[in-house]
Amino acid sequence: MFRTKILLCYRYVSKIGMDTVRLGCMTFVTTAVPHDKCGSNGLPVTPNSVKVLGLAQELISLRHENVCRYIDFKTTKHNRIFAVSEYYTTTLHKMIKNHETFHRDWNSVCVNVSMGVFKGLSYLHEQGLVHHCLEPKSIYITKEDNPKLGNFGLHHITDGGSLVDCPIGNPKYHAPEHVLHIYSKDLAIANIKSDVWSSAIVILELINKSFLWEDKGLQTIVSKILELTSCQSAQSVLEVLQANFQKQSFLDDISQSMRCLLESCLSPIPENRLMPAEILNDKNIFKTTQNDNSENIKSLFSFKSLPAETDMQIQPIEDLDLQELWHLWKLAGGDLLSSVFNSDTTTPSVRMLPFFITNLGGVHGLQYSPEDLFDAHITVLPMEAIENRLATAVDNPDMFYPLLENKTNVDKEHATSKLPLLIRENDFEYQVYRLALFRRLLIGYPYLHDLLWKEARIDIPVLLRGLIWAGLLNVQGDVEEEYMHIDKDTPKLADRQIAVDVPRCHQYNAILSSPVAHEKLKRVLKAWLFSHPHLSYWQGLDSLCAVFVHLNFNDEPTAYKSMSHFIDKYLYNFFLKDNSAIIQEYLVVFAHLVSFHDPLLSCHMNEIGFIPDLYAIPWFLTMFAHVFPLHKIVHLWDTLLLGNSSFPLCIGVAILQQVREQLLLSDFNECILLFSDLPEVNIDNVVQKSIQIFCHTPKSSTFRVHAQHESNSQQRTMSYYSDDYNVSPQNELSLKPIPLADLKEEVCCRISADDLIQLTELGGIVNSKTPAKNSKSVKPRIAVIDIRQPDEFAHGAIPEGKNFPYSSSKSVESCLQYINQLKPKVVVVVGNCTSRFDRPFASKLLKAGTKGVCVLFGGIEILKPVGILTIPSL
Amino acid sequence: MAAQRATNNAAQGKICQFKLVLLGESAVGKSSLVLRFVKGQFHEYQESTIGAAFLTQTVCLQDTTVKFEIWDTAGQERYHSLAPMYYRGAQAAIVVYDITNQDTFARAKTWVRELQRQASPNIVIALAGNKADLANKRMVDHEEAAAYSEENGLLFMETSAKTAMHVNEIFLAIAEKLPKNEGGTNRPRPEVDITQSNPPGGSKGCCSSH
Ligand SMILES: Nc1nc2c(ncn2[C@@H]2O[C@H](COP(=O)(O)OP(=O)(O)OP(=O)(O)O)[C@@H](O)[C@H]2O)c(=O)[nH]1
Ligand SMILES: [Mg+2]
Repeated sequence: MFRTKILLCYRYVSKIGMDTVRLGCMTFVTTAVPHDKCGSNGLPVTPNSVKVLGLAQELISLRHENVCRYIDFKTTKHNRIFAVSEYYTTTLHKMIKNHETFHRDWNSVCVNVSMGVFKGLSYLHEQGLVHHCLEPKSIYITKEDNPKLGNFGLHHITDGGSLVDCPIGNPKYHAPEHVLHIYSKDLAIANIKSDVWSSAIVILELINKSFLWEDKGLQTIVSKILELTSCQSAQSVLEVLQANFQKQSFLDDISQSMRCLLESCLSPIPENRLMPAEILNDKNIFKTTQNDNSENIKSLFSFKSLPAETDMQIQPIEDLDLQELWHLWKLAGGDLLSSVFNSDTTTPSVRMLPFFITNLGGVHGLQYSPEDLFDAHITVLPMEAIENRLATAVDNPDMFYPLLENKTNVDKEHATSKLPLLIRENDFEYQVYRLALFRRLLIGYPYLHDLLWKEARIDIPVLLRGLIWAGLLNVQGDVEEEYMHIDKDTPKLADRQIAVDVPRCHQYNAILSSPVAHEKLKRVLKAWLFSHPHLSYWQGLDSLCAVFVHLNFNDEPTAYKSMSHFIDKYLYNFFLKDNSAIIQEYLVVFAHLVSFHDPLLSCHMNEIGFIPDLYAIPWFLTMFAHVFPLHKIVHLWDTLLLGNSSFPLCIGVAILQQVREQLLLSDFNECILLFSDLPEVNIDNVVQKSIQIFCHTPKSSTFRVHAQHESNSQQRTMSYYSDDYNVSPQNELSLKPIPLADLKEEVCCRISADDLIQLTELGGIVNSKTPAKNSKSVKPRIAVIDIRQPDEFAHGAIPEGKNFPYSSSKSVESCLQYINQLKPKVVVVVGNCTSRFDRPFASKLLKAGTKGVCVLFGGIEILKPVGILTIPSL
Repeated sequence: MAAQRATNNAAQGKICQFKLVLLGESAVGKSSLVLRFVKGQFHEYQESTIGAAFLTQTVCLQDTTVKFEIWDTAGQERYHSLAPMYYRGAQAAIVVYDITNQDTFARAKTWVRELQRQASPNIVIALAGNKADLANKRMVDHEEAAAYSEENGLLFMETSAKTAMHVNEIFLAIAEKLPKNEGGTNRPRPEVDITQSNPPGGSKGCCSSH
């Protein structure tokens, strides 16, 4: 279930010891690819560092108590990769080395470590991973004595070592069959069975409290390992190994059960070694194997309640998920690069100059600098800054443990929430608070759905955006199960198009340009196409999909489901094989909306023939995902998702308004050139402006026949502008579907009779849904301009109506005067449904620059049966 | 590398403008050719085109300045219905295929046929075999394409938006071939005739599939 998944993300809120938890970073350089080479599709070969980055993302989502978490991966120029992971100061290596200081029953230590190692391995195996770098140095011991496997990701992220120049792992712990293959560079054989061998060597060292072949050089070690292949049985392997320890230990020193275990791991023939899961079943050794699930469930519900005043010892840092810790570490001023390279290891720049460079970009004669060599060393990231900053959180528990239901001061706003978004996103204290708050809201999803909406209107923390969006899009149920059962493999016609589009889609983003991302994007697209057989692939859908894939990189089901809901709500039927009716209607409604808010601009654009068809299709077909870079799209969509299905139209108007001065001065060519390279658009401004525009638009004016008319989301009263005319119940006074050709004849927006009645408060229908009317103070002034003949007017008119007969030449002028005095937000032109003189009249008002012009749909006739017309007193 | 821009001094004599449209299967490099021609740039990861994009560029011939108004269309078959709105009224067209992909050549031929049938009768058509830099992956013979062009009276060049090979040349060749007195307008200032540059029939289905 979706909800469980959110919970899962927090299940392993790590238990950070007082002084043991750290973030560590390992770095290495990937093999450079020749500059002049092209892949099979003619595109340049993807840099290996980018490939690594793509492969690595999967590791971030791994969680197991015996496996260290990877937190983040970064790449810089020069093919360097930084892998940030959970880190503990105590390694098994240290423990063996300083075994005298451990006053514990060594036997139980051995059992505990073995169990942890095999559990970790078994988990990795389930995930389809091979460790390949198992050695005492890469096994951490937490302060609870829990062993955790570190460094396990190298084999996976380097694609079995093929993306780096140097061999990975410590040969001493490699299985013989693996050592045999190292020199042939055939890495395919690395598998779980060689990991089992490695773990046996580790355990053997642990039992002996010393290291094997400590004073031997690499060559000797390799030949020693190869000699082991001549052993006939695991038992003799064990004997030989045991004899190789310096202390001259004997096999008999090892307990019978432990010996069995080691023998089951050390067979010279890989097939004969047991699997980690099988080894764990050995009740002779691991009798206390308790069900670790129970512990997880416990931590699931064990929410730290606020400590009482008396025992004030809050340790905020312990309550942070490692991902959050890392995010905040950066906000607290942490600088990964400078932390990893302290200045004394850098090479003098003179030595970084090559002897010569070919004109194809090949570099020759460059000395390997020590930084380029592979080094499994992990640098500990300094935590002082973040610890100090978090210490202040202790003074203000509200910030770290925000209460969700607070009767007394419901709308207590955080002072920072008024500052510009960019500042908020980089404000340490504010983000601590927002993360804590949203973490709680997500755990309560879907029950806290409404609260989630409310808070999302303020802002959305970067780190949790994927899940929050899914929540806003009402993603629920067993998404994973659903996704799993969708056919994503059967070749389809759209495949060729997808194949050429994906490698061109948002490729400035390193992660999205990795091969792993390409596969994901294709899979999610194919899944969506398969589950929506009546819809089809249009170029641009890739851009849309990329936003969700990027955000939910390790969670394709959520990406898929979020995208599906997004399309249902905002792009309903846009991807039909024949979508022309839908798009055409959308663009006409858009053009009308422009005329409502910016009549002069609209007139200018109509005059030069700069119609939306020429520039706005990529906007709306992709909800701007094809026109803006990702960092802008996410901010735009943070707001878009809170609006209803008409909201994107307002965004379009806001964008036009931002470049309006340029447009007004430009001819057709210049206008269209302006939009083929969309100028720098300030998204923050667009967001603010589009909200304003939305609030000043009568909701019926954006009615579309082709919109989705039943909403799958529960009715929200929370967000005043999420209310949607397209999904509201219809009556005889509502807007009616009319043919597209007729819609195109209209010169401006239409307003429905029910909307008019609500706006003028004529009918006394109180449950108004007009956004602008929600709060009394924002109620727009409205001018009702009745353009019928005076005698018709005298027979019955809308109570607030003013008569400016169309036939009289002076009418428009005096009407403009009237409007100038009244300064209404909405000008409703009312005519006859047969003569339709309201159109030319409205278009004259538009030309004069009158804002807020719309015509009453159905003319005066529509109001006659309702009985609200009165005889105007003259 | 961009084609020479027209200087403002009127020593050049007459100025003509022409509407030119690029057609061809998706990802053959239409946008890349235009980008190379207009801005002298090449983006490995040129984003796909939705609907159509518009750019202008001016080239100088001996005695005339030719201003191209270029419509770069979307290649996906689904957007096909949009094409007429762009090629109708165009004086020139470049039909592009990718020399490493036989299917795109077949698609180019259908475009040529459609243009011959439905575009204005005097339209100058050029065939561009793009991605010529990928010669080792070639799937379409130079001779085959040249012969086909010969038969159909098309200008033909193999181009590479990546290396800029023959990009300016193909546009120049078109400029040379265009009639300078009827199609193009001879006006003091290169101003746009809305009725021409605005795709006719703008009201026609934007994305319909037939
Ligand atoms: N090697 C090489 N690649 C090219 C060349 N021209 C274009 N490309 C690449 O081919 C891909 C597609 O190019 P586009 O210009 O986007 O193709 P298009 O025809 O405009 O595609 P649509 O917009 O989908 O119709 C891009 O990744 C370009 O980098 C070329 O001359 N040589
Ligand atoms: Mg293109």
